[in-house]
Amino acid sequence: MTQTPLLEIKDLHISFPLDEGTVQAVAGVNLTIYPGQVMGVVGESGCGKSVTAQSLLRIIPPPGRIDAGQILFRPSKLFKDTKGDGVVDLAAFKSNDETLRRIRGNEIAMIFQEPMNSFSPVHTIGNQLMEAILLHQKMTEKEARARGAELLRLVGISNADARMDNYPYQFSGGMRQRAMIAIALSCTPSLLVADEPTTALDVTIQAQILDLLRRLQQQFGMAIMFITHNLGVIAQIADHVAIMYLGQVVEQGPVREILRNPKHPYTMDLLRAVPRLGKTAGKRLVAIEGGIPSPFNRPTGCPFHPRCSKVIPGVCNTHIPQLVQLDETHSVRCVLYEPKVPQPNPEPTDVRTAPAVA
Amino acid sequence: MSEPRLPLLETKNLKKYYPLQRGMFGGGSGTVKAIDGISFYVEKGETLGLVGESGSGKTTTGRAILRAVEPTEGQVLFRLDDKGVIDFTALKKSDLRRFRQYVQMIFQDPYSSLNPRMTARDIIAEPLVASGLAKGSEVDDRVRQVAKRCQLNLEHLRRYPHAFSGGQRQRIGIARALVVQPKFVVCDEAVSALDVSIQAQILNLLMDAQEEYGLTYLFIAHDLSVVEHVSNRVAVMYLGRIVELAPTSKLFYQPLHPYTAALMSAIPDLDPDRVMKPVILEGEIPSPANPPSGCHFHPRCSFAQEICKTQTPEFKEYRPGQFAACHFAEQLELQGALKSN
Repeated sequence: MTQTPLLEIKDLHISFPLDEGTVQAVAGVNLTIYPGQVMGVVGESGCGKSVTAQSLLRIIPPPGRIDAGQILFRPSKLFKDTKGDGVVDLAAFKSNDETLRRIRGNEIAMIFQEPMNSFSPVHTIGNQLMEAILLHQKMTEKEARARGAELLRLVGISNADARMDNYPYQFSGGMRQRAMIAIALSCTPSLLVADEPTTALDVTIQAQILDLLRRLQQQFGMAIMFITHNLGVIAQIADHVAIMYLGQVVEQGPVREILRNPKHPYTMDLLRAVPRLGKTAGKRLVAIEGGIPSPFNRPTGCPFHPRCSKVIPGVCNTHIPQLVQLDETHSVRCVLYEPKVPQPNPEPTDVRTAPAVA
Repeated sequence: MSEPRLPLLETKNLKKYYPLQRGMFGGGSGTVKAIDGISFYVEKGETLGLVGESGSGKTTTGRAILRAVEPTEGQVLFRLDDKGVIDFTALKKSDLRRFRQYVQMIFQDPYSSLNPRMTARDIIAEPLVASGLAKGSEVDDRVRQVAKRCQLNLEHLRRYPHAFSGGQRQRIGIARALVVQPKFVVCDEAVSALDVSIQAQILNLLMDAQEEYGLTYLFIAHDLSVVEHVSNRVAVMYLGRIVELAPTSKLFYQPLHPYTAALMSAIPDLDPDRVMKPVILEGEIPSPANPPSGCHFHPRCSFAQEICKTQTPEFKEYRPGQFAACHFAEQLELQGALKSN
């Protein structure tokens, strides 16, 4: 693939120094998104998917901080000259940098899980829409209002002109999510970050929103980073998917490849653990043992090894697995696929009672 | 077919209305019909799934059965082998506590449903003590037994809820429900707040416990894949009424009600090549304070005719075991989430 990436996250590390200790929320994430691509990011709570998304706009809640890594972004509208090739490193800015403010909302827009908490309750929907437009585009208020109403119509809100004067409480959950999408699209960003946008919605409304996002994505050709824990939603919307576990991308590739032919034991186990229509009724599910480890107590070696069904004692608990490129698009972070399998450490420190692999 | 099993629990025309107050000076004007005439039975040992969107009255139904909210009207009949049939709704408040040992509830949110100032042991023991079922060392024995069954570490029982993860808290919630050896358990979104890998563990635990103790479940959830996984039969609710009730596979292969079909079409399939073609429902679920006339679903239904606006469709059996409330249930050939090949 010779296309230039829109976004390249390189070895990103984010930590939260707290009184109880330091939480390594993101521990070496690599992720590439191409223009117009829908990248699904899947993981359970605490895997760092939201923090990764927030880092793109540099809105990580304090005391979180980027310790290392790069977030290379290629803006389509601003300054083509910053680094010669028009690439900026979002991780290198101060979070109040002027350049960042011109990127936020304009080049990279974000929609959130809780549409109620994402709006100001004391301003009308129209006001909040116009704010985003006027911030980045040269327009009169009248033009901005017309543009706002047009956007509301675009996201399927009927009677848009009158709705501009409504307050968020007058909108239902699904409509608020539509309005938030309208704000996000107001400046036709090249990347839309969607953090669990359908999780709080009912299934029928979720289907409507997914349908809308898919349609708008085709119309505007923007890339979407779609974060969710629901594998069914990923299957329906994403082209590519990255599976995250405890701050790392453990596997990524085209969505069909990952869902049909998963390589990482975590991906395999995760897919087996989901009830499937018509396939698992009445049967026991193959659950993943144990719980997600405490963030203060990251396992050594591969973070998944205490729960892994294919753990190699003496290797997985000491050796940090490398990212292995299986083919052009599919990569996995597991020792099973490393070309040179490291020798077991003679003194394993933390071993489950699994039989040693011969 | 084996001989028909007797229903363990039966609700008859169960209703819960909330008075709606308008203005500062009170003066009730109108009511919210949270549930409006719910009738179903659950056989011993089976799981009845209860699905519907937010505001459809699923949770109120579960709570009304336990009388965690007082039903406005209707009966909840409960068949006990040694005591005959008990009408739960007719019990005096003072007797209720004694009978709650037969009916227990598991809640959705493992964070807010456990008292943060009680240890896990005390939380699990509370129903035993409150119903006077056990005393002294027997309490501890039974707590340990059920905690072990729920795969809780017995050494952790002295800890407070904050020290447990979400999945472990849900195990505490399950242990608390099972400690009195109930016959009937209402699982209200019991796995909805959990991560996928933990959800599978809890579903397995619930199914194992059902087999081991011969439990009967009312399984309330909005995730249709989960409901299909655990339920023998499924009831679909819309705006306080049951619109369809059928054996699980019938409901998922050949739904009779357009609302069921719409729900089914909105399940995101795990197969990327089976592109979801959701039946787009116009608008949103109406307010239960002001439900549409006739069939509540008619403003959003693509098959609606004049009759749907004026007459409430009768809830009746169209196929063996499959009930629906739709004027055109027999004419419509609806597609479920599953296709027979």
